[in-house]
Amino acid sequence: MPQFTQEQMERYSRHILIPGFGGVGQQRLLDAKVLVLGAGGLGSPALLYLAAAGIGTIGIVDGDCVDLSNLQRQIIHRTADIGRPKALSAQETLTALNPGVRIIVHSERMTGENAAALIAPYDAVVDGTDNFPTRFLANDACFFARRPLFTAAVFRFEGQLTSFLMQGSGPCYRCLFPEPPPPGLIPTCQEAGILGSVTGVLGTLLATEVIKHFAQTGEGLEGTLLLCDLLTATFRRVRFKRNPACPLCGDAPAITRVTGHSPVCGTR
Amino acid sequence: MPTIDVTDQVCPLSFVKAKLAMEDLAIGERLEVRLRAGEALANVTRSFEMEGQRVVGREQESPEVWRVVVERQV
Ligand SMILES: [Zn+2]
Repeated sequence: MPQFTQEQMERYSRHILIPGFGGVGQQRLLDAKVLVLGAGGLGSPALLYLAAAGIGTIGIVDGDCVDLSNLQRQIIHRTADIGRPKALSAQETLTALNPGVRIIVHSERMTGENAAALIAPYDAVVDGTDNFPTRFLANDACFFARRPLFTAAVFRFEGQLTSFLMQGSGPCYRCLFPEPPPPGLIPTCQEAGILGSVTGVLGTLLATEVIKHFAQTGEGLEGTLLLCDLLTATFRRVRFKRNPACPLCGDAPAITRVTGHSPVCGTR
Repeated sequence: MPTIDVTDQVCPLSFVKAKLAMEDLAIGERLEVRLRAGEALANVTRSFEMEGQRVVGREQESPEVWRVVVERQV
């Protein structure tokens, strides 16, 4: 049996009490290493719940600093953190929340050059950046590293969420969208108004999928896109399969290594 | 038969501690749980039963303390 301290037994008691989760599930969370890309709107709630849940090692990749306009949705930061590196600000909040988890700060942007090295020490990746270049980069890097990728996107009152386990059989993000859209078609970050609590819902769903994955309970979202319209409070599931013509995981892949794309905009 | 003492815990931690000890056992093995009379006795035995385990015996050790034997079923 996992040997829990009295502190851990109390802190995680509401997990341990869940039938089918128990101390075994909690120990799996404590053993897990998760890399979160972006300490922004999606990353904030995801990071808070992952740390609270006792994911033992959490890496935060973010090269930006906290801006006043972030605080409407990026709830891991405080007004006093404006101007400070987001990864550092997030680390402080998480350590105060749960000193028992190890938080590793990567105050940089993920690129084609550093992606493989960033991901290698971790068991899974959460993409909370919500921008096309990073989403494709994370997809490609996780595919080659065979790391599960949990990804979400938000727009105004809408969101979508899925998981790629990257264990060889399942689909990848490029099975849905082979290439990033041309820059002219991508809404710039400034155009994309967003209700803060919508990022909260999607970020919390991300954390829930990660926790289920590591606790080995329930059903994940591999091969399923969850579409949320929170203006009408509607959730819809769309199934999708691996695309044999996928340029990454297809039968005759054109992409054989990780390459970078330049981000369209620095706002998260 | 292993024994776990949860007289030092309050609900629901008494059950959390007993459940963690139960996870060590194989199906069919038994655990003796030492717990306080009253709330802990009622909650821990009921919680084990709701998880699908079988309470196979109980005896009063003192006015305050009971010993309950639970057999792992799931
Ligand atoms: Zn693919």
